[in-house]
Amino acid sequence: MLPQFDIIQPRSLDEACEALTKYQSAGVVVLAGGTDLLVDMRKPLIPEHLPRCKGCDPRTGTAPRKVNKPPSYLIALSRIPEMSGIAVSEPGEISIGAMTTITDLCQSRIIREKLTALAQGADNLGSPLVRNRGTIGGNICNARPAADTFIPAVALGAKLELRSQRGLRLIPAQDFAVGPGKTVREEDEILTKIIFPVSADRTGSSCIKLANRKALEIAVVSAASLLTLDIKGKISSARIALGAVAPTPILTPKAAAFLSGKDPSDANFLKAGEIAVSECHPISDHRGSLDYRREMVSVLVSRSLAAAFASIIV
Amino acid sequence: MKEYKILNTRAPRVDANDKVTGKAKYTDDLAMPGMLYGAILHSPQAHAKIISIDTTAAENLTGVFAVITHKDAHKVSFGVSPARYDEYVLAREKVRYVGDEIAAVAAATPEVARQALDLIQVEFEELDPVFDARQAMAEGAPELHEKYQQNIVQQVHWHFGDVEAVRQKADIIRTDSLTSKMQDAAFMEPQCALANYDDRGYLTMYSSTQAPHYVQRTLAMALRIPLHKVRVVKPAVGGGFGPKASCSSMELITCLLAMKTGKPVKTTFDREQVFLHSRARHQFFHKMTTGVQKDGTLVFLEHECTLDGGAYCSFGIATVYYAGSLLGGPYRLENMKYDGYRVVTNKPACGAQRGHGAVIARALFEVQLDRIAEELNMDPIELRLKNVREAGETTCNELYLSSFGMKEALEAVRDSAAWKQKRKDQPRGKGIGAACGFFVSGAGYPIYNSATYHATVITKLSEVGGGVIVESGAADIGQGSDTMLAMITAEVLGIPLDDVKVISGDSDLAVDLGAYSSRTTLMAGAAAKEAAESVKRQILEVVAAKTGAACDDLDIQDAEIVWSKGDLDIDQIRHDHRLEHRNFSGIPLSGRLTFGEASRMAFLERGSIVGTGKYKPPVLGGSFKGAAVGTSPAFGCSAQVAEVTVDLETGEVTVNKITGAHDCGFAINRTQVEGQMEGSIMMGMGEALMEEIKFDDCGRILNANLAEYKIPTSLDVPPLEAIIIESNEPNGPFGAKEVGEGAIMPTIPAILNAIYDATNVRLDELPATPERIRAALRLKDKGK
Repeated sequence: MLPQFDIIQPRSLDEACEALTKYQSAGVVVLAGGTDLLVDMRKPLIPEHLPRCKGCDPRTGTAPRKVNKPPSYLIALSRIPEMSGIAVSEPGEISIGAMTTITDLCQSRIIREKLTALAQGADNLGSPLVRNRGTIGGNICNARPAADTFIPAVALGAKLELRSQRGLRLIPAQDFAVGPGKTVREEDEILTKIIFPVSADRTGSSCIKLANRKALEIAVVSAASLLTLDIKGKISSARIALGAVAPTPILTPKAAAFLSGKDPSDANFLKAGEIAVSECHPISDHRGSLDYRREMVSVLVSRSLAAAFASIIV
Repeated sequence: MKEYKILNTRAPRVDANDKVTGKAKYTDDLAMPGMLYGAILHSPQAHAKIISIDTTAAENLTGVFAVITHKDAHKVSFGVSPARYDEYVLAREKVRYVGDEIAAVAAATPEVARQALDLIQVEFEELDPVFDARQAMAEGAPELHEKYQQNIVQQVHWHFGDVEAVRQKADIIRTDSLTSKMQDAAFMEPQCALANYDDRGYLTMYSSTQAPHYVQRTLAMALRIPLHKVRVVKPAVGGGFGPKASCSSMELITCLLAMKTGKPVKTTFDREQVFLHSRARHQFFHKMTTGVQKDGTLVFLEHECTLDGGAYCSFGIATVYYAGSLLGGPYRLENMKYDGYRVVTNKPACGAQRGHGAVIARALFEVQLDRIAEELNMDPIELRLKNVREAGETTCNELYLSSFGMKEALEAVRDSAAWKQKRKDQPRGKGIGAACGFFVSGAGYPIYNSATYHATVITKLSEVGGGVIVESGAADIGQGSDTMLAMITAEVLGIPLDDVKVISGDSDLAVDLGAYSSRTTLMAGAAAKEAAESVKRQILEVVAAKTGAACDDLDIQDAEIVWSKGDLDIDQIRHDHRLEHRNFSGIPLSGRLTFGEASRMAFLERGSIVGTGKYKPPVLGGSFKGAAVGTSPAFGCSAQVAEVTVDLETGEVTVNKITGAHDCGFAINRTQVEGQMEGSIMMGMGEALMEEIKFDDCGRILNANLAEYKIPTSLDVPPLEAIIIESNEPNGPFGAKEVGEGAIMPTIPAILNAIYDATNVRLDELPATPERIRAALRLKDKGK
């Protein structure tokens, strides 16, 4: 059951930023697609005031509470037209409005061609119903370590545009999350768009998710890779991002550095996978053990590199 | 086989349109004037004494009409098996799992009801909990119930034949074990109940239940109301699979709140409450030792099983018996020893779930057969074919197989799945596996000690002529029993399906023990057939008297009265009928006497024409202790072949195809039989690969929702081929017997055997998640 709240539906970004500042003290949360927020806001079934047993960790267990204090206001961004859509904003840049739905990402030809890893990450997210409502901005701001569009955004070198009444700022995707569900976004800021550098020629990308079933899943491990070849066919640059193996999405710079200047061979991809294992910090939880996750990092990194390489149209 | 007009077709379900257009009313769709909303306070602790409960603040909240605790209920225990009643409407003295019900509220809105729960204060004294069944049985373990020594609810020690005497005859003796996890049945509709207690002392409860009859009895007993003043009605139900087959605390609480407030009260479970209430599949720890001769002949089975059943007994006695008894078939096995222990722990209570106690036992035995086949260098299907029983045989535990298409089912899947070729030719990472199954077609005895009929049906001709109304207590929970009752009635009466209306699932209408143990088609179907035959005889008697034809020469075909000697003289009857129906449409002008005319005439002659039917199994089974569990008037059997691809690096399993064959005796509705087979396979697939309730160290469920409790999605489910085998069961209506549960039996072992074929690794723990498979592969690689 949801607690009581009022909903505000601004028609412009200015209005939204204003409202966000105005209701700050009363308790306000930005609502994008709601597929995470509204689930997390539910009142816990077993009232929190009842005494728990001595060993109980209040953070886990039956209906763990993700939103501590239910907000009094939700600011819904769904009626702000400029927050949705996919555009080639500048030469060499694709800009995606934060309220663009996951389904829109899946169906966009330009994203599938130029930002393949993001299209694949979007394919992997939830179910058709969730994809129709969920947004890329919501998925990134929710900042789960396994977020399906966040991992490829990190791999693809995206920048996040944050806006408030105080002004605009750009944050590299890999610097956005600071812990599970925690980001550098200030309380009065709204994520407005995600800006991707458009891949140069001889570039390919891929995103792979490992889970216990084929849809409606939270990754046990996910890996996204971006690979660019030089004119001789050697790897000129690589970026590899991992999900669900650290408190936030992470890059594996050592594995990427290893690949630089090397042949895009299976042997090198395997080696990069092994290096990536040393760069991740997974935990054991009910979705997977630390050991399994480490082992799978190696497999998924090498596979995602191979898939990124295979997607390069020479 | 006899030609049928309605039966054995693919007639659309009578409720199909209402279900797919959202018009069907489920319990939560119902509302009454002045209705209140119930909410339940669940225990946050797994094992604790209740020192005090203070409801004052909650009672004073505006909009709250009643707050109840155990003090408001009679001190009457209830449960499933009368010998093991161990639950109270609300916890007395102590709580035994996270979720145990402590108090409840009725309020004007659901929001106020939940708010009131926040105002109830409870003081606990913590007790040591125990979460593992083996630890619960150990010396000095915390005791959950005074009456269960060592926390054992029921133990079974069976010995059929003489295992010791034949042990040396076995050339190969293998011991294997398998552990499963507690499950959730993941039905679509969370439980809901709406109760109303009127001024004359009549209690009516609408509930999402599989068994209105048992619920009616429990309400009357626990609430101290005369049985005849309790009515339980089952609206449309979105699945049950077992957990809705007994009366729940929530149902009793809702009635208590209605009685206390004098207003209708509705309580609807959250999905999380579905998990907490549970009553789904137990956790099983099986160990089996099987002896076979070199030629593959089964010699003996020694079987031990411990069942973790959570905090209360629920169906547990039946479960622990089923876990042993249903290995009596489908193979010739004359020597069988079984030691079973059903244990309580501080977790949600387990009960019955599709296939009841037999599913994991079946999984291990069928996996073991494959291991034995490998040692014998024999094809696993050949090994099975060598041992399968046939119709007319009796198992070592005295289950009589009146019809049995096991051999036909096994051969059908073998041939349809191109078994022999795929078994040989597939590369590592691809695998194919087979297994069989065996299940009751309706429990031979009621849950309480009684000579009651298991099903009765009252069929009435509509007095205006043309229609037929079937009244039954049978619970259509989505499996399609209303359609089955309509089809049988229409076939017997020779009329179109659309002219039969079924009213069912209401304890005021007729008796039916409920939709459990795969009993409804055989039992309620038999009663419906008898009732329809009675009605038909009555109509034809009237026609015979009016026309002078002999009754035996008359029949009803295509909704017309047919006389085997020629054309009946119907001029006067038709004249009268037309006079009665001036300006009506559809009045017959020529041709034969219609069913509508004949049934109207029967009413004019005799008053309401009513036929009744009843079914009760004959006395079944042996005389040993517990012999009743596993008995049935008929037994279904099935075989499946699963084909899988295993990603050897990640351990991920893709099920590529499952071919299943099930002997349902006779398919009343072919589409519905296939639907049950497909549903069973999907459920079995989930249990094999992903389903698992996970707990933290305090006994709290970590995945009490359908996002984190994994069942197969449509992307996981492969093409399923369902082959219907019809062995013409002599004890079933038109030869029909079960399909609803038996079809799940082979799925888990067929998949496990296919995984072995693909990887050469065996798993002793379910579900076979990627991580477990990968761990087994890693272990094997190290061994090399």
